[in-house]
Amino acid sequence: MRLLCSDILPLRIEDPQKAFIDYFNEAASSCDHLEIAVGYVSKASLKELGRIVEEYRIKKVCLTIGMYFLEGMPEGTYHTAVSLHEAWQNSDIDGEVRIVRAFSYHGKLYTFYKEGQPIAGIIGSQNLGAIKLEASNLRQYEVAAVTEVPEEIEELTGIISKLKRPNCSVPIQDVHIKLLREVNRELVDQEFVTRVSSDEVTAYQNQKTDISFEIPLKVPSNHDDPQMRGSNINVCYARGRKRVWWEVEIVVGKEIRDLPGYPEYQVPFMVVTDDGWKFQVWTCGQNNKNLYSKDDLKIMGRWIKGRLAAAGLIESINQVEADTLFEGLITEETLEKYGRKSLTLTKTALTTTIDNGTEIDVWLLSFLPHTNDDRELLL
Amino acid sequence: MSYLESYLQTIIERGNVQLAESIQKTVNDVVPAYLENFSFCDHEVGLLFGNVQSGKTGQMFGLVAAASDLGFPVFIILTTDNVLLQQQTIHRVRTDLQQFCICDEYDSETFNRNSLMKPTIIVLKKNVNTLRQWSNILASTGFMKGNALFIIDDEADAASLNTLVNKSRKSSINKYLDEIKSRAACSIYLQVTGTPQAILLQTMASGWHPYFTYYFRPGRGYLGGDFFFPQYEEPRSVVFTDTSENPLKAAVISHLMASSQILISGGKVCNFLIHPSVRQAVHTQFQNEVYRELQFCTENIDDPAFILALRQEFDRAQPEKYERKSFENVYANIKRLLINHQVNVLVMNGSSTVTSEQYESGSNIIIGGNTLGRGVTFPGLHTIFYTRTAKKPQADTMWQHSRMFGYDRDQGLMRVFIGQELYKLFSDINATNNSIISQVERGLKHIKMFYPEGLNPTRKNVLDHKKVSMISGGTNYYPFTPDNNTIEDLNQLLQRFDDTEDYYQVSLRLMIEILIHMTSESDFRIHAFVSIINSMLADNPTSQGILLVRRNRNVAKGTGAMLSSNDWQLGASVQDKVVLTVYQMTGEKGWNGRKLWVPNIKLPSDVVYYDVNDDD
Repeated sequence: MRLLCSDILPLRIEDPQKAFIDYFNEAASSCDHLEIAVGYVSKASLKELGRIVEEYRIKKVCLTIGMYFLEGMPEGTYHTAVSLHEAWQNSDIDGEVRIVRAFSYHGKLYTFYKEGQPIAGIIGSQNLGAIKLEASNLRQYEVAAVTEVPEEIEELTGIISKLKRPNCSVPIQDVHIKLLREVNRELVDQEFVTRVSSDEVTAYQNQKTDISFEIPLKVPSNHDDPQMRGSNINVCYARGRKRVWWEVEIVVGKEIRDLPGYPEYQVPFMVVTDDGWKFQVWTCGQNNKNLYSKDDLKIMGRWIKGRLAAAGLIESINQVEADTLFEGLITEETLEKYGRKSLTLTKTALTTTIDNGTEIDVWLLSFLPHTNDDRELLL
Repeated sequence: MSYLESYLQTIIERGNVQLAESIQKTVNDVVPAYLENFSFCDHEVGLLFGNVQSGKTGQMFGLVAAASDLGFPVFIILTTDNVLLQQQTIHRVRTDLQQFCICDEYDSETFNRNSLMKPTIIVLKKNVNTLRQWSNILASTGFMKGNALFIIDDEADAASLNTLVNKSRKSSINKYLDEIKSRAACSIYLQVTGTPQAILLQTMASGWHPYFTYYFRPGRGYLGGDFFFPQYEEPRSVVFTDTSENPLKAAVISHLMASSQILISGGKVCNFLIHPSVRQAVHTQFQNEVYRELQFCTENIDDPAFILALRQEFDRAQPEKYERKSFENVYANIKRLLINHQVNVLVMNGSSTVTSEQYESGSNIIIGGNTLGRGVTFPGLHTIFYTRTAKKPQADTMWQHSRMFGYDRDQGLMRVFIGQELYKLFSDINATNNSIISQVERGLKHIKMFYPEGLNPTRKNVLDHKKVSMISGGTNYYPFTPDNNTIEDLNQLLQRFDDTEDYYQVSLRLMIEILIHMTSESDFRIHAFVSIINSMLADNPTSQGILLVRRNRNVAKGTGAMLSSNDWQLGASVQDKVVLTVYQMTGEKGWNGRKLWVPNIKLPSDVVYYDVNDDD
């Protein structure tokens, strides 16, 4: 047995120790079959595993994840794991992502095979996140034991195999898992935006009036659909004036604008969002067709797109003109996976006084997925 | 390959082996001592000190690469608030450190997406809006909560320090820099500058005084303070404008000769810088005068007297980097430059827009004021014409205007036209710079600096007036309430010095020995005098001073004057050395019967020593 350690100051690895990440990469590069059973994973490590399997042409891979069934799974991680599972299922790789259901599994086992022969096995404190270090675990010290003794590797594989039995775990797409909503951090410390506690949100929700509008988000059906590619919440992809990715333009149809109680032209009102943010909004543009965040168009974008990014469904884009693969484009498919295709704007019976002393109405704005019953807010 | 190896390889592949060696030395000196021992719990401040235009950026990048290898995940490189300089830096980062995630000021999404997976370098201007924005980004991502931040503040003595320290408030940039640091679990804040005066005069309590200082020597071929303002020899390149009949004409001729010599020897550019007052009207006046001189040269190009003047200048110049061409060749090219109007005259000030491309090639005469300061580099600069002296000159600002320092100059072609008074000021600044360097290299903790009266080390608004005091040379200082650690030790130390001798010449080391046996209240900071004497020893380890020893003195405690008239006169007759007078009291008149030794010290005249009181 040898030890694999993290390599961080002041405890840097010393000869002949090896860093876990280096050993993992070497073993992965020389194997064709990889079995992993860990408690936790991260979005970045799931993507890294996908890359490793593709780059090293690993033919068979199974990732079994142990801790989320009872605890709930962060939504971004869940969507990434499902994407990885689907990608393997739709390729010639014999790969799957499984979720342990029978109990909470907290072990961390990794085994590597080449042409049917075991070449390495790791038992360690490292979850899958250790294969792609990022801000959250860069300075997290871990120690693992590695064996290259075939009998010991087989013993580890034995446990992993039992975990893969249907009475222990199921493929991720077959399980109904409680999702933990991640906080949309894109609005933290933004000018003109205030954080609101969940109690305050509930208080406003208790004061709803009957005036409510369901505003659909108009997007292309998929990445190949040229329709609507540069409008509404994807306006940054439009030709002409360059806009940053966060800027959005919510165009509201005439049939909604004409309904009684719809906000008046350029009269600011406060919105309180269902995930706990507060900012001013107004309706403006030709025929009053646009719904904008008042002080900065990016605020509305940071709220909507930040939600989708937190859910792991799109990536925020720094330079839109460089996004030729449309990784930041929102489509029907994106919203489908998210579980919501519209915004709900509901007036409350309350008003609030803003800095200049003016009293304005308070509305509720909602964009959380409809399947609220089995999701919790991760704060 | 490690990040450092990869960076050094990039430099070596460009043919700059010496720079790579110099960076490797800096890394070898700094990393084990300061980075490998970093606690990852604290916020530490360090100073990387290197001469003006001596290649600090390369050293900075070397440390960034080495720190990445140690696991530091985020680097913020701060530049002065100038779009061109910030863009120049980010361009260099992108070219030299390609394995990093590199963020410009607007690249928050790049930073976000990377999530520190690759080590990240963020290049920011020291601008309030930019710093506030990134303070918010660091907060909102939460990436820095458990991670170390490495800030490299280029030109850290400018803009970063608190200009409101005497008003008990914080200036905006200083405030946001503090805020950015506080976003991280721990940080190293590396100040980088060629003029550390303001930084070294910060108090420890301010949080901006460096815990460690590292000086890196310039590489071979660098022309700096010691070349232009040597302490012990005649300056090779200096022409005193006070004694010259028409110094501007002489400077123009010198520039024509250097330009011609360089351009026909395969050089790309030769620049001439005129540095008059800050007023734009004066720039225009100089522009007209330069045109007039060029016109004169053109009209007299075939005049034997003019050709003789050129010939004399040619004979004086001994190019070392370029092949020396024949006078006929050089003359023919000067003629061509003049007749074809190929000497460009550029005015750089607030009302003109001169870009660096305009003085990157050919023969140029640049006239300007403050725009010629910090950060701006003039390639192939060989002739400099100074006229200005500020009414209240500041050593760091003046030094930053020394744009003649650098690597791509040919010492045989350099000419500095300067007034004697201004030359003296530059020489004094150079002497103090050398003293600071010696103190740093000898590892002294309390670095002291001194300037002639009338020359301030830096701008006053960044110094805490309550904590930074001036000790004037030529003035007698003594403690109001002295005491001795052990009278016996002092008795023994001073035993061999007889009262009957007027004075003794002794090593300054002995003076320190004597002083450290004495204590005092804060009116006489023994520690400050010891540090000043140590700084003198750093300059010259065999320095001597004058010691007067007197016993059985019946002076009342707390008296307005301690020295006897004779001793005062004796001390006053020595102007260029430290004079330490020690009186042993009889124990009467307020000394409680204790035969204490009391010091009186006078430092060399016409010099002001700066002292930061960090006692509390």
